[in-house]
Amino acid sequence: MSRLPPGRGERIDRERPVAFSFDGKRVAAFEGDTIGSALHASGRRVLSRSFKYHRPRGLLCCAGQCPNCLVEVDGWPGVRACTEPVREGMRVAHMNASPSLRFDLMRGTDLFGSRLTPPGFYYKTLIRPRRLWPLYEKILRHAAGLGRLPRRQAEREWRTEYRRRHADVLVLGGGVAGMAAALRAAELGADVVLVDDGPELGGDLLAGEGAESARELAARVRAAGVEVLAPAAALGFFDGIVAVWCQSTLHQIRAGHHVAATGSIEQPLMFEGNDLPGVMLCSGAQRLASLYGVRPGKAALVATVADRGLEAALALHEAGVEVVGIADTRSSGADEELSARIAQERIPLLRGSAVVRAFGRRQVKGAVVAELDEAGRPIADSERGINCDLVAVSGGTVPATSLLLQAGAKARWNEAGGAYLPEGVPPGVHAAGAVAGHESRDRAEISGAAAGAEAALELELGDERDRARLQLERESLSPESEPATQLVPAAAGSANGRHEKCFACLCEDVTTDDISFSIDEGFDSLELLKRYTTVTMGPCQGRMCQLPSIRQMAADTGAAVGEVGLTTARPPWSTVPMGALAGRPFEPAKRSAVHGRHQELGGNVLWAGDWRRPYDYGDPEGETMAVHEGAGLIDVSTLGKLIVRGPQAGAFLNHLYPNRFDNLKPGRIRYGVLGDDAGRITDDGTVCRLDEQSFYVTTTSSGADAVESWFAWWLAEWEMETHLTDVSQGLAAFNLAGPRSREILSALSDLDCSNDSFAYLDGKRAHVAGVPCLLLRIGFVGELGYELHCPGALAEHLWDAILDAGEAHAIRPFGLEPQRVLRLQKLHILVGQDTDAESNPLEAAMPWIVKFDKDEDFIGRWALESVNERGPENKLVGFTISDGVVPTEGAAVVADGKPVGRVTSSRFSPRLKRTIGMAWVPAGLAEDGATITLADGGRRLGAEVQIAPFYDPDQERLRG
Amino acid sequence: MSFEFLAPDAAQPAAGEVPSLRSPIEWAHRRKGARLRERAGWRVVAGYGSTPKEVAACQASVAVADVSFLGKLELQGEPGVVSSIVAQLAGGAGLEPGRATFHDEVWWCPISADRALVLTPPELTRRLREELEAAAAGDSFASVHEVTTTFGSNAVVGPLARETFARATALDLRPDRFTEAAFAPVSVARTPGMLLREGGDRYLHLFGAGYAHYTWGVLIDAAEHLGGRAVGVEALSAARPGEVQADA
Amino acid sequence: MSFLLTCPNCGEREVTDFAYGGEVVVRPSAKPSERELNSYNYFRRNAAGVQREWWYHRSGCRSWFLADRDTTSNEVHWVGLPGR
Repeated sequence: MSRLPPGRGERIDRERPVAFSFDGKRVAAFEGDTIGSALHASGRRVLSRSFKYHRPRGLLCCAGQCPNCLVEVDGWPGVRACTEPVREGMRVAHMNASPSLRFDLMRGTDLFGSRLTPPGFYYKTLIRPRRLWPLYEKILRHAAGLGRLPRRQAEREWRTEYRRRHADVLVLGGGVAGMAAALRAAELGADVVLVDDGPELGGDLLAGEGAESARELAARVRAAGVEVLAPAAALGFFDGIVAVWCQSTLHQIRAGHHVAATGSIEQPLMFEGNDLPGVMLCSGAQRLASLYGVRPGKAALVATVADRGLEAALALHEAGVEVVGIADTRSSGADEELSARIAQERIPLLRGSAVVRAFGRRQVKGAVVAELDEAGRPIADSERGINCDLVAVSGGTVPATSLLLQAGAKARWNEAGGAYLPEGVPPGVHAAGAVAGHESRDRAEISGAAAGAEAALELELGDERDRARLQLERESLSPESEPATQLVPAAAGSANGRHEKCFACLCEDVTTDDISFSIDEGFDSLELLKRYTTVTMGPCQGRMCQLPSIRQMAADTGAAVGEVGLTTARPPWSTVPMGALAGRPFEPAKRSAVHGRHQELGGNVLWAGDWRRPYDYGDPEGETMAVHEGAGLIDVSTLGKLIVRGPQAGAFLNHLYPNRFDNLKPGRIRYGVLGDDAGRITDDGTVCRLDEQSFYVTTTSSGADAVESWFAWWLAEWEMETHLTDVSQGLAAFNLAGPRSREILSALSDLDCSNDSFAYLDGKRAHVAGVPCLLLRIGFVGELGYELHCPGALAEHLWDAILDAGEAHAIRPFGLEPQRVLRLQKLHILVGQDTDAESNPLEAAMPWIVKFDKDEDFIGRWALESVNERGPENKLVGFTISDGVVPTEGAAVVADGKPVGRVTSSRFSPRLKRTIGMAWVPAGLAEDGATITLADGGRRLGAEVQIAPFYDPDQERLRG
Repeated sequence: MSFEFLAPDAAQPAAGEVPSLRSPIEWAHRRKGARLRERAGWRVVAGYGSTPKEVAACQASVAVADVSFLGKLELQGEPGVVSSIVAQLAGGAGLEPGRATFHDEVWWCPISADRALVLTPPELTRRLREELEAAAAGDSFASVHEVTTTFGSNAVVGPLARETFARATALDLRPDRFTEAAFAPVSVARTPGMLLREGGDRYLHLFGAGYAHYTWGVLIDAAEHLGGRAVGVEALSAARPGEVQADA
Repeated sequence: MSFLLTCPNCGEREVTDFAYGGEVVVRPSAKPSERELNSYNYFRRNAAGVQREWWYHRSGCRSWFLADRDTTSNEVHWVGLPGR
């Protein structure tokens, strides 16, 4: 059993066993364990295989920082075993190894292939012969990546959501500094959110002796009303919003102030075999021992560059782990009290020494330690082997500055601190704790409290005493009192020749030799090196490899570490599922007030712009013929509807449209086409004058918002005494069309519907079936018809009443598709279908609508005048094809083998029994009877141009 | 008849029947088994089956109710004209940006200096419209339009109402920021909307009526995930006796 | 991009609540030459710095207003309604 005796700080509950499976085998654990701690306790050292060489990897950081323990949990890939709590019955499986974790065929890339796979090997070796690339790609795609998503879509779906949170202060990091900041700010009255990536607040305190004080502080933080999000990953700063992924919610937090207490990250050391399972960060080994009561190893060798390792050695020793030795790269300068305690406990301390190699097949069996010369190089004949199954390493720490840098701070090399520390932190952002260079517990706590106080005071909370207290805290944080972190040399390889790889980047399997090799090839700036070798681009986002690669580059180029710089910190700082970013799908859809009726009538409901509309009710041809022969009813509630009202309403419309509206008589309707100052058509619709000051303007369904905003814009610019009220979504509208529509309307209304008193292009107001309506006699579909506009609350009643009254006249509801055929027969254009961003009314078969003789200026006038002077180049015309073939919309019109135009609409007309369509053709071909050739896929089709409408060209039916 | 085609209450008896007024998504409520009852010509959702559960949602989690029957009137004019009409009809109250005024069961909501939205119980809509039209008929040009059916409206009430909205809008709804009677035109669930905090944890959400089904789906989904549910007006009034705005 | 913009009517909102109307250009008052017309229709200063531009509060009060925005930092220095 590799559990230690119960310790005071442990998180596990030994009374409550939990069992789960790993690769099908049962694993016993305790409540409070993580997958990683339980697996380690069960004796398993190999948790994954590495990205490129498929080398065995085991626990390293035990804090969710490194890529070594990524596993699949219940089918979800990419879960970090070291932070994921165990749950009864969970199914855990390894990733990236086949056929098994123990025996992985792809390990061959490590044993035999590494000479063939240098940095950039894709570009070097897979370019010849060119034609084999598809094969290479297939193999690479198979080999690349970690883990596999569930195959079936349904198994991939899980509920995620966004949550917006506003806060006064957002604290990033729940270590001692972060907790102190949150506590102080909350005590001063701020609304505080605290985010931490660990399963428990406390940060580094938890790994050492401070677990109890961490818990006490965490309880105070919660009691102060701080909202704690943990375990949660802060993904990045996005223009004032911090995205935080917690369980299945993406919290988008907008805070007035931010405290970055992101701590520091312990760094691995560079030596041969430094990735073997059993090589662990000191803090990782400590976490295992103190939080989970797991014996990290039977015999531990500690390798360090700073006092941190000495503290860890003592902690492990006290927890009951045999420490066989400490290799400290420093020959002097260690803390005296620590040294004395180490001597007292009879732990061998090898000063001025480093581990140069760890060996073992699947896990550490021992390590080679060598003394270092004055330049930090290992002395060859000083090497000796030490048997151990754990090498606990501490390569110093780097401040976790990424989030601060994203917030706008700059990283500057701090010689005294021996680290890149944030500078120029922007207003409203505060740095506290180790990330700001305050490593020790006391200093971290003071700096945290000070940051919390600063934030609160800037929010005008607190009083003079709080200000004075803050001043004292600031003074006690003077930089001199902070001990400097020791620097370490780059890779300490054995002086007796290379035996094993030495990894700078564990995520992407980049070795220190790869880095040196790339620098030799000329990639001698850090940003280039990053892109070429992919170092820092893996799941750890540079947490484990930024400093090692900088150190290697400094050693190889002779530059100082401070001159090498850092690569740009980009979000996401932590790994996050793509589904988390998607959130819950918000797909705004508009539906008419009679949508339920469409469904009940068997409507084939599809997207039409942002509306859900019936395309047909199962029989588009029959619906088309019903409109011709009896009556049809179509829901056109989707139309944009604007009331333009005021003393200058007529003048306003005159300015907007190329034709006239000020002379439109009340109760009459006129078609209008809207354009911009480049003369291009943007929308069309009808305008009905309601009274002297009021117009009712309809727009296309998809153009409703744009037209309202266009009108509002010119109103803002011209400041005319005109009011605009958008009633698009408030009024339902139905087009009752067909030769029998007059009878149906008469049956439902007292209105005199005779042609004399309700003529074509008349607008009337009347009750229909008791429903107050605005009736527009217009003819988009080409038959006698009435568009009825009424309050949405009465829409179902009116729809039902019309269908009931129409039953005797063979009325049928019809959908968009029949309407498209019907309007095409009349050559009525659909803006956006038959026109595009280049179309103007002069060319789009509507020259009559542009009134150049209008006195006043109107939008588009000047551009249209130039088109008029030049003469149109192309024209929109109708065409017919007699043999029933329907060309694809978008098919080319060709002349002399070259495309000269295109088909915009085409349908087979059941009424006319032939194919009809509209097409853009060169102006020279735009005359009745001209023959045009259409190229549609592989076929050529002959078509005949027709200028007049195909159906009822003399408008006898429409006006009858 | 001038602008009667905008006014649902202009419906008249025909063939022995007065057309009843319906929510834009009454069809969806019917399918969920909603019990409908009459109020001022409207068919409103009384409940979905279990009134005690619905009341509990109002009090302990979050409840969403379709109150599209609320009357909505839009007043436009020069800022001075609008404020004098509002002062005349709202008991002397002025309009302050971001803040609605409650007077005689009517909410007066400023959209801009030259546009105000008036929310009325359905019984009062016609009277208010006529009063507004009379007040707007003065020398300076002002216009009044009924927009009752242009906006759907949901009442969202309960201790988790704010959390429900946090899943759909970026607006800061913390109680000290979005105080009682606060009014904000704002995007909710990626569609234009308006939020009014009627009081306590009672919010009114207005949105384009075309989006009623979509908005209902988004809010109910968020609410149910938080333990809440759809409720009818009976639960709304049972949960807070004495209130008059959104219940029967 | 998720900066906040202050609508003169409604106050601070996410920029996604607004529609961008582009930099303010002056429409010619009399018939322009072809070159003037093209430059009015198609050419913009596209300043790297503060420019006056149109914004439409699409998801709010549905009013157009003017803003002086620094295009390099998205900092908005002034907003106001036209003509007031």
